[in-house]
Amino acid sequence: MAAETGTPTTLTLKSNDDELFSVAESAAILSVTIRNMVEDGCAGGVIPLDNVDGKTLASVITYMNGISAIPADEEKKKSYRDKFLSDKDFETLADMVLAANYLNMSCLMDAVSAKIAQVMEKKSVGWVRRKFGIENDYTPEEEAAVKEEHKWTFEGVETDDDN
Amino acid sequence: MADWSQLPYDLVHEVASHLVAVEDFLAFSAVCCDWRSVYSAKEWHQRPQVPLLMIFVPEKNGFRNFISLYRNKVCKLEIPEFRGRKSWGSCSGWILTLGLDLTIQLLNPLTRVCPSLPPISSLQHRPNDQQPPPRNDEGGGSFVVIIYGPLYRLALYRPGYTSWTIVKETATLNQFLCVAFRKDRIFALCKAGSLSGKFNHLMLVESRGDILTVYTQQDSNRCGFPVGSVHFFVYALDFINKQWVEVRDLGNRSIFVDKSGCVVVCGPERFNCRSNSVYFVADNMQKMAGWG
Repeated sequence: MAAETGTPTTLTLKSNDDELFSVAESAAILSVTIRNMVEDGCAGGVIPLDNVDGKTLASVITYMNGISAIPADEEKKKSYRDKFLSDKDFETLADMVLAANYLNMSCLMDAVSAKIAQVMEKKSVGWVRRKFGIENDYTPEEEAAVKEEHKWTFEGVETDDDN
Repeated sequence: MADWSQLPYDLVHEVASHLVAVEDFLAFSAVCCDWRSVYSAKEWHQRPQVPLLMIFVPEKNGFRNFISLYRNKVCKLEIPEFRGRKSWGSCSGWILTLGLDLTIQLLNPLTRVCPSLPPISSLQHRPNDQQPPPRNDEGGGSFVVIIYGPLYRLALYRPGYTSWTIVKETATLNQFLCVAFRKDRIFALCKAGSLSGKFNHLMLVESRGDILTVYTQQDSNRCGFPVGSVHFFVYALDFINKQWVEVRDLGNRSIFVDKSGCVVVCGPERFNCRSNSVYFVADNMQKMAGWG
């Protein structure tokens, strides 16, 4: 096989909107999902990734290449992750976390989740709903009960709604 | 674009686990029904954080006032389980309460989980009393350690047992002052050491694998009353050489000290607190002061 002759093996990944991407196997196996496919011998042709769109997959591959080029230095890897996520707009973070979950990439999922959590720090419930585009699916009575249970933390914090 | 309200439970759990402040986690849990799932399942693993400061109010009802440094305000919590009980701040989010009937309970004010501990009467058993082991391990390896009585003895309780297990003393004058947990070990600080006369107050705490001792020293006047500045000295245990090494720089950590224990918080800036500082509650002032 190619690996035995010293040439790096390249895999072809296909997004759910039919875009094709080439990526070095050594970088792609950061994804446990892809690694399992490679180990099971299912990675001969094109690997279809049905739950990831082309835009998100392009981003994930940039990350795979970037992080696998860094030697085993956790500090440098962390700073690469921070830099990688710093220019991602907020809307793509949800796609990234879903893709990381599907591809089973714990390090990326961890970093994206931390970034999402950071966005919510010190924010009110109303602010988070608007920012994340989430509809309030509580009935008024349920919501009142939810807030009553830990009233101390909800009182007087709605003022940051427009920040 | 993905729908944030349709995240699978595992991802909601993952995001929630990165929220450090309990105030943020409660706001997160109120956003929509799906995001409340981690709260409802009581699966949020609380990380060390800047403590809520419980203010002593001499009322026998279930109200307690707390200062939230994170929110920068005084909050009033109504906790019915506190009614008619004495309470102490404790560690890992648990508060210890003692009733007039001498029953001991733990209470987690976030989850309202309120396990009962064995009664005080079971502390009178002789140390070598054998207990039958519980049928199943209910507590998942958790345990409670208390220092009790005029002799400052140490007792241990594991869920499922019916009484406290009293730790046998190795020396006659081993008065225990403080305990800390690190991995699968309990570290206890005794009064028998040479430092106990020199310092007013000694504490033991675990932080990122280190065992730290926090010594508090306050100047006193000729009559022995504490006056003036409070000084803190922090030492870390060198496990290999079995000696204490002075820590002059806490880095991005801060230590919060009160009479019943201390907590180390990493990255306290996000809680509106300074790093590399010791925060303490002064006995006679009822307030906290920072010290860099």
